[in-house]
Amino acid sequence: MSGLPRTMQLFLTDSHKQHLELVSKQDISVFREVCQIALDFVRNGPNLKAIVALSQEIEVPPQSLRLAIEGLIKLLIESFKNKLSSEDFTGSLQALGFREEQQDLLTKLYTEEGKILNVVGGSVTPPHFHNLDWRFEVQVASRSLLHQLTPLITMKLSLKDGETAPKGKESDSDSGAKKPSLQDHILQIDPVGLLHITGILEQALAEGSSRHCRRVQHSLE
Amino acid sequence: MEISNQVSEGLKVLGSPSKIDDDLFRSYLEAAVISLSSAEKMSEIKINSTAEVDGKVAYASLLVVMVEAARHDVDSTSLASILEEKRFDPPRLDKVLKLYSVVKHKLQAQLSGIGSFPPHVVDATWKLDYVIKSDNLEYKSGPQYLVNLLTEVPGGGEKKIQFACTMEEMQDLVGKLREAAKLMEKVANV
Amino acid sequence: MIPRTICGNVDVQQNSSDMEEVDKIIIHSLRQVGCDIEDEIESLQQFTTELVVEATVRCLRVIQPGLTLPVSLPSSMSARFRIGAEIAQVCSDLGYGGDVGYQTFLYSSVTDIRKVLIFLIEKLPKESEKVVEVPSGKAALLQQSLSDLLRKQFNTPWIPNYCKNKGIRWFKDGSWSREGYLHCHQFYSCPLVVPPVTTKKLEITEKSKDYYKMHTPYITEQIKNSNELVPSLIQLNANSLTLEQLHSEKDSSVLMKPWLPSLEKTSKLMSSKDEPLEPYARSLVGLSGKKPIPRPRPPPKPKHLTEETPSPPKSTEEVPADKEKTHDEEEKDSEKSIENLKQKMEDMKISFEDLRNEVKTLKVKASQAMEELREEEKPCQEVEERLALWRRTQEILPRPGSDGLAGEGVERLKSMADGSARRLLSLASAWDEHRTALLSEYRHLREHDTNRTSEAQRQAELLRSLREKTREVMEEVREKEQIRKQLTTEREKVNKDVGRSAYTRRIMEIIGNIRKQNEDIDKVLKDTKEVQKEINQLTGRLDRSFTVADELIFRIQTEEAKSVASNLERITADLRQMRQESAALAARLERKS
Repeated sequence: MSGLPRTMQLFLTDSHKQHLELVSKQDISVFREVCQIALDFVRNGPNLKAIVALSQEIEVPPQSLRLAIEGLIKLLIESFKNKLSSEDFTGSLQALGFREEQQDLLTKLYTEEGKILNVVGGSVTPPHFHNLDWRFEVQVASRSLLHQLTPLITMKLSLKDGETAPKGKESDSDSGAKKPSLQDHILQIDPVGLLHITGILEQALAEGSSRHCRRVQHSLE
Repeated sequence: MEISNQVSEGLKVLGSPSKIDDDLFRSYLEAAVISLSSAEKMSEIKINSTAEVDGKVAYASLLVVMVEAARHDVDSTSLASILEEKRFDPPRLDKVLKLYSVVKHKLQAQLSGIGSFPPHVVDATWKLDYVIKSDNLEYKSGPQYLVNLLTEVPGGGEKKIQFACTMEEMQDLVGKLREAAKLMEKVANV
Repeated sequence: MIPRTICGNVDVQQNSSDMEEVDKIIIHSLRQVGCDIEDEIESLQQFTTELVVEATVRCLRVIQPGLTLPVSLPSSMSARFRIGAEIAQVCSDLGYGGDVGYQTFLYSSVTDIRKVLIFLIEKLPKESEKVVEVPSGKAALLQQSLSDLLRKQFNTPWIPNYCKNKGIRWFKDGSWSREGYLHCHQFYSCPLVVPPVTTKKLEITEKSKDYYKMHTPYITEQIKNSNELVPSLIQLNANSLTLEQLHSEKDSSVLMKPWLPSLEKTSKLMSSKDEPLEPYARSLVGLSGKKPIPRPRPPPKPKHLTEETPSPPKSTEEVPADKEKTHDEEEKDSEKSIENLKQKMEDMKISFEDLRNEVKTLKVKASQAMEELREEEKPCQEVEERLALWRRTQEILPRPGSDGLAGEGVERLKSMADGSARRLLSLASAWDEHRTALLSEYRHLREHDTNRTSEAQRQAELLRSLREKTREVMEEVREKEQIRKQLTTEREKVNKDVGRSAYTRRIMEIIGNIRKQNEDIDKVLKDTKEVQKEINQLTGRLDRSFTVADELIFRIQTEEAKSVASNLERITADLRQMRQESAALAARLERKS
């Protein structure tokens, strides 16, 4: 992949490039501050005060500065999604007209702080399996039926929400900045149903490690 | 099984041909079959509604005693002795017992469905994806299952619970389910 | 003789120490069975009657699970005897050969008890058998039926939920299991109106009867949502049961009330759900509109009610239709009218109270007047009686028209007296005749009567015993039926694993072998004992022979000792002579050389 250094590896819209221009024009001290605000944005959400303060300092409209910062973040995210190596990233920065100092700073940011982005990314996806607890119970009586024998399996299915938690704690940025929000589903199933879904999911598992699947997997790697 | 005095009185009325004539008695039995075994057809029941007051008590008592007997899982001999106590006319007694035998299991099945229950899993479907790229940075590339559990929510229709899991998580899930299934097979073969 | 007695002593000691061993083993086994035997108790002699019974019953329970004998003795003597006899019966049923009865346990002798306990402990299932043993008791039964059910369920294929009838899977034998919960619903009930039963004791007024007849719908028509029927029926029975319990002392008064769930409950129900409102509203309007207050006596001033709420009965049918639109208003209205009615009722109650008081005072007055009347009448009666007497005497006395002689009057009186005396005699004889005839008839009848009563009693007794027997037989039939069912299921189960019979056969063979070996061992033991006896005898004989031999040897020894000494002297003399000869020969040899 490193065959074409110093070239653009990303496809950015023109307006995006425009927004970024505002950042690349700034000298290094302002640029550093911009980076800081961007990082803060990612971790704690937008901080309008800081943006307004900086915009007054460098005499640009706050709206443009905000767009520029968001563009910077978008650039980082896109690079991550496309799995750019740091060289490719630097190359792309160069192609976008960033100066060398700025390139260094951003590359550093990309390699060191990228993990946050790696986890924080959010979108509409189904929740993720987290845990399953179960117990086997037999209902022997209820108000409406005093003598009965109803075997049931009660399950607690915990799912990790795929949505972004907007305010992750900085302290657990190593293990993943997002604090997963768990949703529990209390479900019941009858014995026959349990055997059935166990069978179905076993089949799914077997399919996942079948030769066909592996071949597909291999060809895609 | 306990029945109130009022029901007892009603049963005495129901069991004596001098108070309820045979035609009315038969129409009560027919109505009871419908209302107890297929309640949704209840509106189709037609009983001569200007009957004597006693008839209304007798009919109510018949329904109550059927429901209570099924609820307590009373066998037909015990029910017979209860009715004998109420000086039931023997041919009527036989008919009521027959009604009970027809209705009992359906009624018990119906009774078993009264109460509060969590969503009940009835089926599962799955899909195996291979994630090459994702706009969601959380997901690593690799095989990923998408599992749908179809659940029945009492009174609320069907609901799907959808979740994703990786190969390892799927192994975890299946392992736990298999454990539960094994346990039950063990219990079944005690 | 002496050795033999010693030998016997040893035997007795050994016997008693054996028994101690046996007792220890028995007590150990009993503790394992679950008897609470204190540490100090080491032999069966220390067992109390209670302990004996407990020990036996615990053993029996282990041998025959499901036995319902009590572990501790009751205080009443007859119950003790009964339990003793039952235990004895169970023991002999188990195959105990010895003599056993209640006295064995209640007035125990150690040897008998020991025998029984040894027998029972031998009968106790061994550890290895315990595993195979079918567990009993309620929990085990539950477990058993659970595993049966699960097996049944697992033997059926999975069916998609939309193929099941309301989430129920029906098995071929008529049983079912619930696998879908789509059609499940909560326990929602609605109040049902059911008229009271008319009995002799209880008469409802014509008007309320009319209401019940014409306007109370059948309960199935009172239900709005078909799901509510069954819960409502359960609730109906529960409510009236509770009501009856609350008023159990005034039973008849409850019968007079119609079936209505308590107001608080209905209002709660209504707040949670509004479907059940309609029948309730109907009954409410019915109450205010048609006055079907189901009481035996009508309220004192019924006009007030009908005047205050002149809603005609037909409107009851319309109420539910526009219920939703004017729901609040109507509620308010009805609340107001209820308030009014309550007020009216209070007023009426007060006036009713007043009237009742008045009635009471009037009644008291009336009774007083009656009393006075009676008092007044008394002297009047006395006077009348006296008057009658006077009239009769006047007849007897000489009439003013005749001679006025007293003699005539006396004569007449005499003849009258004579006449009455004669009449009395004749009457007496006639009475006697009648009396004897009547008496004999009376006696005859009485006899007949007693015969009949005794007959009747006998019949009644017979009937009662027959009834008892019928019930017993019914019960027995029921039990037998149950046992049959259990046995059939067991048999089915047994049929399934074929290996079982083979195992049983092998076990039986092994048991046979063991029995044979036991017999062999017994034989060997007997032999050993005989040999022991022989040895003992021989030892005695040996001892005796030893003393004899010893004496003999001593005698011989003393005799021999004397002869030896003389021989020795002779030999010494010979030796000396030979020495001399040899010395002479040696001297001769020296000289020659």
